[in-house]
Amino acid sequence: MDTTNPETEFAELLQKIQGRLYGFIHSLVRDFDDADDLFQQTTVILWNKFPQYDRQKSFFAWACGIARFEVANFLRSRSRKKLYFSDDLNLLLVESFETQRSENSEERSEALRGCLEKLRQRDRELLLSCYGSEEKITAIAERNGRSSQSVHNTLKRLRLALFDCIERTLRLTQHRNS
Amino acid sequence: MAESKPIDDLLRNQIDAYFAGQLAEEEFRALEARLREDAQARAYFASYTLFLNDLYMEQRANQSLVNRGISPAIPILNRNKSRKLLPWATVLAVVLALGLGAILTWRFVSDEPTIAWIVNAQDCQWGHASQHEKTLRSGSVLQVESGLAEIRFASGATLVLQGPAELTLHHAKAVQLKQGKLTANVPESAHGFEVLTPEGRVIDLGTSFGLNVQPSGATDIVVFEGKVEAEPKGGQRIPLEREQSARLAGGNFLPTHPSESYVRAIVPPPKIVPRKYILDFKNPPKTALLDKEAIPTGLTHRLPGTGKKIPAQDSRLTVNRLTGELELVTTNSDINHQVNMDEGEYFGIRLKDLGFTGTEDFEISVLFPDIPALRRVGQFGVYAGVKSDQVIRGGLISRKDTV
Repeated sequence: MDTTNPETEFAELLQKIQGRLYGFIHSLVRDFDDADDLFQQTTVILWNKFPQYDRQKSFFAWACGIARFEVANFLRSRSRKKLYFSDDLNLLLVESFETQRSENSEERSEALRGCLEKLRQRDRELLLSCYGSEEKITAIAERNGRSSQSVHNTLKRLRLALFDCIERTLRLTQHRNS
Repeated sequence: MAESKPIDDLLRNQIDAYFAGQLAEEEFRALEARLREDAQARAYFASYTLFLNDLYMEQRANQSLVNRGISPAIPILNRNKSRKLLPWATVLAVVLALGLGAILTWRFVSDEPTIAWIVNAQDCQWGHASQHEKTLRSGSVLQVESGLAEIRFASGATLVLQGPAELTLHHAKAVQLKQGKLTANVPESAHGFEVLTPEGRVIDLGTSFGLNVQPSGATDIVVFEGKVEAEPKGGQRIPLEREQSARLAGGNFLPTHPSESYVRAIVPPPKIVPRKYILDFKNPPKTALLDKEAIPTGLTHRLPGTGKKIPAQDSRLTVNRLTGELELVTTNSDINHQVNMDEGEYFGIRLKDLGFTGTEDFEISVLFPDIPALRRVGQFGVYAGVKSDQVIRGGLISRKDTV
């Protein structure tokens, strides 16, 4: 029945799920650098194990199963400075990510940019420059004579407002296209 | 299964704090418990995660612009809608992990220059009636048979004309669209900008909108942002707002669903310049980093911020000119967390030496004819960056138990 070669089939399957798979991994480790590594590592294993993939089952769920295992191994090798979700919750989250309409990535990033433009310039600059390390937030707080906590609070407010704006925009787009 | 509760502020704040590393243990446990029993909360959590990932990509893209000395606010507004190439411009060095010889290809990309009045065009075939000047006057006629043309007015308004279309310019705030499609971006300074069509006119009230004049003269209007007034021939002005659309035909105003696609901006195609660098360890160039016996390796620079403690003759490197191999005894270092960078082996060649000036986007592809087995945590691929803490990477990563 299947005439496509495995490389093409794999690439197509992966392309469809990669945003959500990355999101799933990131939601467990909460560090983009670690998520990058784990995502790469997971995709290599997916490819190596692809002959064992059962076409009757969800590719996303299969991929997340492997990702969960990799994340668990990775966290074991880490000194556990942070708290991490238990594996039963991780399993429940697979389903939540699977049902996300996440692969309209163009639409999503367009909505994000539109919403960023609506922020005040000062807020936008703050939001776009504060990411990654805690040191960056501390440095920005010091430069502006604020406490780190107050910068954290502002960032949280901006993120939540931005998220709401994007959701609204996407609902409108969806409505318009339906 | 427990019941889903509505998404409340407590949950929203907890999820954000979870990712920001701002959650105390007790709150963490509470969030975990809530997520475990509430599917709706989990769906919100997943969608917030995907949002943070998008935001992170935007932050990184923005950071690369800041590094180039470009004010961050402007590029956000002007950046191309979809950017497939990496916007990492200030790169001086490419550092690659070891292969048994590698071929690198660069593609440099730069934007096309723009000009005044008819400020941009793409695949544009002009019709016979068109002026052949870039400067347009009152009464100028533009016929676009196919492709796109962008016109900027002294009033500040910008139009993108999508062929086949015909436009006559009356003055800086009024044009006539005889047929075809246009999109208009009208700033405050051009408030009141008018487009006349065979079936009426559209008056702008500070906005961006699209128009499509059908061969019959019927005019479709869609408002992207802000507000316009639409006036069917001999009829009343009717306001149209953001996301609304309508058709003017036969003196009537009919609300519609927008079905046409409009091009709102001309995105220049990239100008691509390929560069190739072939590394042959049987015969490496003379000026290069040296191996333990002072044989040049062909790789010229170390990534700034790495390898400070490595001597000029690197005892971990061995060039085998007979087999054309470069061997490396790897070091235990972690670029993610900047661990042991002074001992880290991150070396390569400079993009600058291939003609990169620091303003282009670039794409790198590398062909490694063979890849050694990786043991423990091992990575194999390409690094590009200006410093050990400003790099991007691509390639393979593997652990002992997965190879």
